[in-house]
Amino acid sequence: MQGAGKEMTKRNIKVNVEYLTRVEGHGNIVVNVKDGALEQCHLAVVESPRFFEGMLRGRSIFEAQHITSRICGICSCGHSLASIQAAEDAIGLAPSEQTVKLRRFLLHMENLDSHVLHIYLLIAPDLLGVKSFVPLIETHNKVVRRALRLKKTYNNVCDILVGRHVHPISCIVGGFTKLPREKDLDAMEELLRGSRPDIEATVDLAQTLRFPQFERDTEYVALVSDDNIYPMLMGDVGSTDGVQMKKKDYRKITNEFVVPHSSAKHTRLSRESYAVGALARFNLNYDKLHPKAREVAQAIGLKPKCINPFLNTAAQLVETVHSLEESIEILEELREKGINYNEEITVGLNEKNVIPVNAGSGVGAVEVPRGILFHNYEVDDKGIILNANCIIPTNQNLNNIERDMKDLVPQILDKTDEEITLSLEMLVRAYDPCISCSTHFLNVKFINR
Amino acid sequence: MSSLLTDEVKKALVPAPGGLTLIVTVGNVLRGDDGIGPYIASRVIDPKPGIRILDVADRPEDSIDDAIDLHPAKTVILDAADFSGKPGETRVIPQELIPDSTLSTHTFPLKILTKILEQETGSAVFFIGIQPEAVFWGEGLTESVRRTAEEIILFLTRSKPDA
Repeated sequence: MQGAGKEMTKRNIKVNVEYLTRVEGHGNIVVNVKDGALEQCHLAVVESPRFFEGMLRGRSIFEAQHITSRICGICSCGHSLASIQAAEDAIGLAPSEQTVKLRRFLLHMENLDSHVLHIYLLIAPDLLGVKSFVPLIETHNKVVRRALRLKKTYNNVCDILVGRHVHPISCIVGGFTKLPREKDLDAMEELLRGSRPDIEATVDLAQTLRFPQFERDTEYVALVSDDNIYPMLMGDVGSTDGVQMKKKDYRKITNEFVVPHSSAKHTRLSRESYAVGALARFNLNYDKLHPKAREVAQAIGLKPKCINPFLNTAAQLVETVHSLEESIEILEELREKGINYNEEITVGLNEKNVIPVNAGSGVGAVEVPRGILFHNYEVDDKGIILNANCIIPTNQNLNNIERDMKDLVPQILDKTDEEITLSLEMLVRAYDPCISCSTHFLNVKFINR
Repeated sequence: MSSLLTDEVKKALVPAPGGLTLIVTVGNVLRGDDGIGPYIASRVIDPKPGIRILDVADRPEDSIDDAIDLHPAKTVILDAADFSGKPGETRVIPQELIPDSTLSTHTFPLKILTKILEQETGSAVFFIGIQPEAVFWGEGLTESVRRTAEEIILFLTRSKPDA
């Protein structure tokens, strides 16, 4: 973005986007510039808390994943898996290698579905100069059809694996109630291989798009690991500022705090803010991406450490290729090794003590499309949740988005009010925020007076 | 009991001459009266000649290719719609009133389905909204909405020859 001229810097600007479109949930952008000086710059989250943590209290860990998947319709698998991981961590249960592999596969399906929709539905209209996805039906019919075809493909794979395209049924604490049969593996592989030409066309399309030039150095946070697997499900939490902590220390990582203008809490780590999501994962784990994904990164000129938040979308594209290729490889590995159907389990609410339960506290840390997601449960010796805490990626990004906005506004004062508004909307959309999910239970302690 | 279907709605449901009439049912069976679309689809076992039912449930965007492949001359979308009417009341909703502002990665506007269908097939697309009484977490229709559903089912089902 170009710097502003002297005359422009004396402008008065009021931006008040009361209903930010093409994001999930309700958030307002409020910017106030007086005589060229930035007085106010907020992304205000106005939705009320949803009390999911409160709902979990008193419920069994064996049903928690079905409740928490409802936090989000697009990250329902991620919430399920974070919930399951927290529950297993709390009771001291280690999942089998096969279970971990299938869970990684499930996360890839969610990543594919979410990233494709974000790239096509929410970002492409901005970069193609239209106001929403709907006008693209007339001008870019093939692009629209391709987007919908890809969404359907990954939804169908989810259906096959976990019984439903959202809110998985068969993925539970301890493993899977139903494991894919040979015909299921065939069907999933055919669907995934069949989507390759559409993903290649998506990469071609992305190469024609021009993203805004804006950079702000910040701290990026994501899972990191010592093995060669791009960490989505396992590992410690790391940052580009050199932090590395165990997931159990998630409160020391997120350091949540309340701001007056938002019903969603903000977070910070080593600096005033940090970012999570595809770009954070890309910056921290580039070397572990599938070779084809790295090829795409090189083709679109994306290199770590990238500090342009608008390029989170480009990182999503790279991850899309990674998720597709790695999920096909997982299917090949499962087929080669053979699935152990003895691992199919029926647990219900664990009435028959199929799974031994110890009282304890556990943390799940899972990379979902928008970034790292934490679930923390404290459970009793019957597996009943005494306390729960969920910290979702959008919460962790809100503070960073505001810091970006504060840096961006002075750089675009020479633009019209409409252009400034659009730039800010595009910046927020680049993070793919899920605002409904970010409004979680606010713990208030009343002090005796 | 008087009919809950207006003349306009009945006209929209009449099969198109010389082509397929595709009835696309939309809704979520886990949200009370929002499940009226799938309810109708599951009960029209033997549709009138020229009519085909396509239940897209809560994922209309995933069935666009299926709908296009059928090359309908006329498409009628049946879904619960809150137009502040009486529970069970039906209306043909003009396309321009179908919102497209709710687009996110979580929800797709029906307009995408209708626009693509029109463009790809030239099909005339009608949207019939049924006023829900209650959209709640749970299965089953309220009585007033179920009566409307039964009337639509009867309207779409092939008449049985007199015994």
